[in-house]
Order: sequence, then structure tokens, then C-alpha cells
Amino acid sequence: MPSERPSVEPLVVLENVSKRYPNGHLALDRVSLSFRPGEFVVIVGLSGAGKSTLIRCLNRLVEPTEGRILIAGEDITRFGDADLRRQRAKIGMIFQNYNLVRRSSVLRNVLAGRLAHLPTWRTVMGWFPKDDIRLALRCLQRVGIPEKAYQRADTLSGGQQQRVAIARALAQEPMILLADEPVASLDPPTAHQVLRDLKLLSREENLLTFVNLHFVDMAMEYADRIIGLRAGKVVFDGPTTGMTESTFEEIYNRRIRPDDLRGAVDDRSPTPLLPETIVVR
Amino acid sequence: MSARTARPEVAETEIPRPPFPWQGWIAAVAVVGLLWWSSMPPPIGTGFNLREVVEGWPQMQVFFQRLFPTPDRPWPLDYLPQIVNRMTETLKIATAASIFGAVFALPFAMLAARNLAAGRIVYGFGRGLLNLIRTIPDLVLAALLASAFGIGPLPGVLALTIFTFGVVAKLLSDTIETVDPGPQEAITAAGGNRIQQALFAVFPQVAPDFVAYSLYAFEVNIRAAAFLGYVGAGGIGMILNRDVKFFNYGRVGLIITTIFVTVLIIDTVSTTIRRRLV
Amino acid sequence: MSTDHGQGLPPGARPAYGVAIGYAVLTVAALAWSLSGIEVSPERIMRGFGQAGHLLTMMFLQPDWSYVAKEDGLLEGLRQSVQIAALGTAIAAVLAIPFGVLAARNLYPLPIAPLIGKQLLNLIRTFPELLLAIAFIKGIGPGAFAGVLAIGIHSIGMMGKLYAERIETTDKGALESLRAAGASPLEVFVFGIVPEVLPDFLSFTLYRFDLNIRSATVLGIVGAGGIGEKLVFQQMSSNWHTIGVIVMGIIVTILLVDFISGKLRAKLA
Repeated sequence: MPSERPSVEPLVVLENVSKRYPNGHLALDRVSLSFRPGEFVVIVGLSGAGKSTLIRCLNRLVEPTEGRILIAGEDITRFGDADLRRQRAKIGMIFQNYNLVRRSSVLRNVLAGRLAHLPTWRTVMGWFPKDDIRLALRCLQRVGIPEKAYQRADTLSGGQQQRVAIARALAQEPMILLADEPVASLDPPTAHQVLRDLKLLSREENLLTFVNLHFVDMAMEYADRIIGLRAGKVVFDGPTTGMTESTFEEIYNRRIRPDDLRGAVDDRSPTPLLPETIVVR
Repeated sequence: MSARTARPEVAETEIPRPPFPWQGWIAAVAVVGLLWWSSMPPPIGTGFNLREVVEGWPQMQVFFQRLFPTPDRPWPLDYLPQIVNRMTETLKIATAASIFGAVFALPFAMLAARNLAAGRIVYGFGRGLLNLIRTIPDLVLAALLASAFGIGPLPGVLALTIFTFGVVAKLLSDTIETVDPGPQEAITAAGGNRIQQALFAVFPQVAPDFVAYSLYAFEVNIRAAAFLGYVGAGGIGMILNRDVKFFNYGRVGLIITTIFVTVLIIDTVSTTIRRRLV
Repeated sequence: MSTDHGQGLPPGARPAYGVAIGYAVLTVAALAWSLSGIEVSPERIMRGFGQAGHLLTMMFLQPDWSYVAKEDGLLEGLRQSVQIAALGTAIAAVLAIPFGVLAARNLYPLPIAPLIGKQLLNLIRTFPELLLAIAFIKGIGPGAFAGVLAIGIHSIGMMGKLYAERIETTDKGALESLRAAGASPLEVFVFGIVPEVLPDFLSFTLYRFDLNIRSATVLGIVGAGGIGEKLVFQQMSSNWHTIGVIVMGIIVTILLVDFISGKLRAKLA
């Protein structure tokens, strides 16, 4: 729990960040937040409330129109192309639709996480150093699917593809992990597995993790800290214990409904994610 | 995974063998072999080599340059009326062929569509015949017909009619197979036979597509007719052949420009009409 | 269904008579115009059909099979046409890549490069193969070599367009995730676009080869090598028994290439 940690320098700071799209829509409205390493943050809110925009500002897939974003003390909004790529290498991201290169093998997809760490001439020729290949395989082992290394990415199930995406993010050796609706395309048991894995990883690697979630009960189950967005503004920021029905109404502007809840999982299959202490499956 | 991870574990990981891409290598070897064989000097291959291309390039440039008018060698504009005459003939060939071909294609397409054919044998025969017709290049057909019917527009019309027939019938029968079966069932339920089904249920649904395909065939036929004359099938291609033989490049340039312009105009008009139909 | 012209009938139940009659009148008028000026008499047509029947008999009922294996015969001609098509397609498949990359809109922040690229491709596509063949024959002499160049240059147009369109429809999500991991634009291209489009490029090449076999046979008629040349030669001497063998050979070859090309493309999908 954040309150138990000794005082640590914040890793990510947003100062009055706003995003206005060309069509006039204000997606983020003077958001100011600060995050420490290792936190597991879940962002909730209605569609269009700014969840996706907020997450994508952190690696500048979306450019903020106002404000500053500081990561490890540097203002990334001022970065040029080369610095931005360097910075993105330290931020892993997974997406709702997995976004793997479908026709490439699983291993090649995971190796994509090493692209920014290696000189371009090597990667373009496909000459990945043996150590990087080993690292990629290790990441695959860690998410539980080492045997799929040479299979085409699109032959895997949804849950497996998402795990490949996680492995790719891990291969970057990141300090921050972004997850934009990572479980929206998965069935409930798989969704819970993925979230458990993400939380475990966050703990073990001390990764500051941001997860966009649609379902309130899942958010409450896994988050250390919840950020509630509404119309681009932060209307809630605190531990899950602080969430009540009235805060829910503030975020969603209505009373809680059954379809806001994913539901508990009946069959909890053991997580395929290996804790760091076990070397080989 | 980083300074945080115990690196020895990474170093111990074994890299499994990737599966050997047999199919890829066999295909690559086959293709390279084919190309190598093809570029060998005759009589084994085509004798393709870059040096000759480079050497012959200036002459080709001369050819292209001679097509265009220059101040002291302008285009023979007095030749234009003859060109327009011939171009009109080409247009007539294309029009006649498109109409005949489409008209014959319509009933045949009904035969060759799975949902209208009077049985699998008829369907198979229809499809087979269509494939056969579409395999013969139209220029070959035109050359042969010119021998049979004598030089002039007639073999051109015949060749393109057959070609149009093939193209339209195939496109149309494919469309017929994707038609909504509802109206057909209604007519069958009311006791109608296949012909009535075709007329009242299928045709109204595919009529706009039929017109669109015919127009498309017309577009193709204009180009084809323009060059069929090269082998004696009438139209502008015939004077093109003659002028190329006699090195009258000024005329050749004028002819080609006329063809381009005509094709461009007709393409634009036809495409617009087709878009509004479908 | 588009034929219900406000007559209150359920669509497809009855043909729309007004429009149909309009079309019919238009068509008859066009036909009348097109047939005018073409001097055609019934006897000529009859004679022609009779002659055609005679020729067809000679061609297909009494073919000269010795021509198949003869030196400078059918197999020789077909071999040349296949080689012309293969080389021409290969040249186009490779040369079209830079054009396709140039013309793909999603690769550039500014639309100026793809605009130029697309116009270049359109320019190439306006030259019909026949014209290019004539030009190359004048430049480097008649024969198969000219055919290769004609087919090669002409095919660049169509293949470049297909390439560009395929690049433009690559899954954007995968490209976005590569950028998010810090990949440079070149790396995004090599890792995100190339693996996705390569099988399709091969498929286009096979399709184009299929079309080019037909072109290769045809271009021979104007002197660009291959079986077409043999056809013209035999036609000049009116050797219809041989011509029949040639035509059958052409059909068989095209069908064979169709079949192989179709099978390979199915495997690539």
C-alpha cells in the first residue's frame, strides 16, 4: 500500500496536462498527478472520459496540448525523436487488441521489445545478439508459453497473444508498464489471469503499472490505487478502500449497474506466470 | 529483467532450434533456377542481359522522341480526318461486339449459374466452355478470324463478341449465384418454371450489374479494338500497323495520342455511369 | 434492390418495364449505328462461316502433331513464352517495390511523395504492352528480349499499385505498438510492414504471371518472340493443321499456369 512505502521520489508527474483534439473535444482537462515506482494504478471512467488519452500521453502516442509530463525528472514533452524513442524503450505497453505482428513468429514479436536497445543495422538485418534472444525466450518462459516461440502469432488464442504482448513489454526491461484495456477482448477467467499476472509482475519487478479498465469490480479487486476520470478531469484518486458507491456515481454520473461488474471467477486456474524464484517450468 | 534480474539465469537459457523452412528454400531455388534458365542466351533462353538494354536505350529514345511533334517536324494534321474515320470504325467495332457479346452472354450466364442451371452437367459444361473461351487471348482469336473472314472490321467484331461473351457471362453468372433466393422461391412455390424464375426473380436483381458489366466490357473492347487492327481486324490498328512498318513516326505519334484521348474520355464517362448504377 | 421505381411492387417481383424499354431502344440505336458503314453482306458472312468451319476442321480435327516436338516447333515456342512471362514478371515484381513504397500513403507524414508515386504508376500504366513491345523491337531488335522488357515495364504499373494499396491497409495497431516500444521508422517498416505484406506481394506476382503468360503469347504476333511468332509464321503459309496444334498448345499452357498459380496463391493466403 502506498502509505507504507518509505518516501520515494515520484517517477511520473503530470502537471496541468490537457489534450484538446483538432475537432475541439477536450479529452483531458488540466490533469495533475504524481506516481511512485512500483504502484499498480487502475484508471476507470466512462468511454470517452479520457482514460486512453491519459495513458497514451505518457509515451506520447498522443501529444498533450498543454502541460508538462515528467518522467524520472525529465520533461518528455520537450523530447526530440531520438530522445523520445529512448524514453519509449523504457515504457512497455500492451493493448486491447494485442497488436502483435500477426504473420511473424512469437519469438520475433517478443524480440521487437529489444529494438530500441540495439543498433538499427543489426535489427534490420535480423542479427539479434544471442543474449537478447535468450532474454526474449526467458520472457516467454515467464509468461508460461515458451513452447510457442516459433509459431505464427496469429495461431495463438486471445489470452496467449496477450501474454506474448506482455512478454514483449517485459523484454524491454521497462520501468513503467502501460495497459490500455488489456482484458476487454478476453473471457472472464482469462481476463482475471492476465490481471493477476500483471499485478505479480508489477510487484516483482517494481514496475509502475497503469491499467485502463472498464469494469469497476475488477478495478477494485486488483488496484492499489484508483484514478477515476470524468470528462477529462480527475474526480477520484486514492486507494480502493476509498471507493464507495457515491464516488462511483461521481465517476460514472449514475448509479452502479450490473453490467459495470465483470463478475467473480468460478474456476481459478493456476496462474501460468512464474514467480522469479522458479527458473524452469 | 535488468540489473534487477539475476543475469546468470538468462545466460543459461537454451535457444531452441528454429524449424528449417524447407518450403521456402525449395521455392526460392526453383524460382532462381527458372529465371536463370530464362535469361540464358538463345536457343536455351531469351538472351536477356542488361548490357543490351543499355546499348539499345538510345535507339528506343529516338523512337519515342520521333512520336512527338517538334517545331520543324510537326504532326501531319492533314492526316487527322483519316484517323478520326478509322477511330470511329474502331468505336463501331467495339460497340457492336459489346452489344452482341452481352446479349448472348445474358441467357448463357443463367445457364452457368449454380442456382439456375438445369442440373450439374449443364452447369459444368457452361462453366467449362466459359473458361475455355476466356483462355484464348483475343489477339490470337482475331488473327485467326482475319484469315477466315478476310481482313476488315468483321473478324474484329467477331473476335471481340466472343471475348465479351466470355467476360460478361462469367461476371454475370458469379453475380447471379450471389442473388437473394427469396423471389425465386416465391415463384417456384407459385408453380413457375426455371425460365420464369430467371425472368421475374433473377433478372430484375442483376439487371444493373448486367449493364455495368457490359459497360466494363465496352471499355476493354475499345482498347482491344484499337490494337486488333494491328493483325488485320479493322479500325485504327490497321493504319497504325502500316505507319509503323513504313517508319512514319509522326503519324504513329498522332494515332497513339488519338487513341489515348479517346480511351480516356470513354473510360471517364463509362466509369461514372457504372458508379451510378451499382 | 434497385428496380422498384415507386410502383408499389415488392422488389424483384416484376421487371420494371419503363426502364427496360428505355434501355432496349438505346441499345438498338447503338447497334444500328455501329453496324452502319461496315460493309457486310449475308453472303460474305455465310462464306466466312463456311471458311471458318473448314479452318476449324483442319485445326482441330486434323492437327499436325509432328509440330509439337519439332525443332523450332510448339514446345520451343511455348518455352520461350513461358520464359518471357517469367522474366518479365520477375523484373516487374522487384522494380515495382520502390514504386509501391513511394506511393503508399501511410508511410509519410506529408502526402506529396505518395502523390508523385501514384502519378508515376499511372503514367506507366497508360502504355499498353503492345506499344512498348513495338518500341523495344525498334530499339533492340525483334525477339524474346523485347517481349521481356515490354511485359516487365508494363507490369510495374499494376503491381506497384497493388503493392501500395496493400501497404496502406496494414494493421495499424501492430505498427503503433512497435512505435510505442521505441522502434525507429525504418524498424517499424521492417518489423511491422514487411512480414505482413510479403506473402501478399508473392501472391500478386503469381497472379501477374498468370496474366503475363497470355500477354507473352500475344506479343509474339508483333514480333516479340514466343509462340505468337510461330503462330504468325504458320499463318502466313496457311498451315492450318499446324496452327491448330499451336492454339491447343496455348490453351493447355494457360490452363496449366492458371492451375499452378491458383494452387500456390491458395497456400500463401
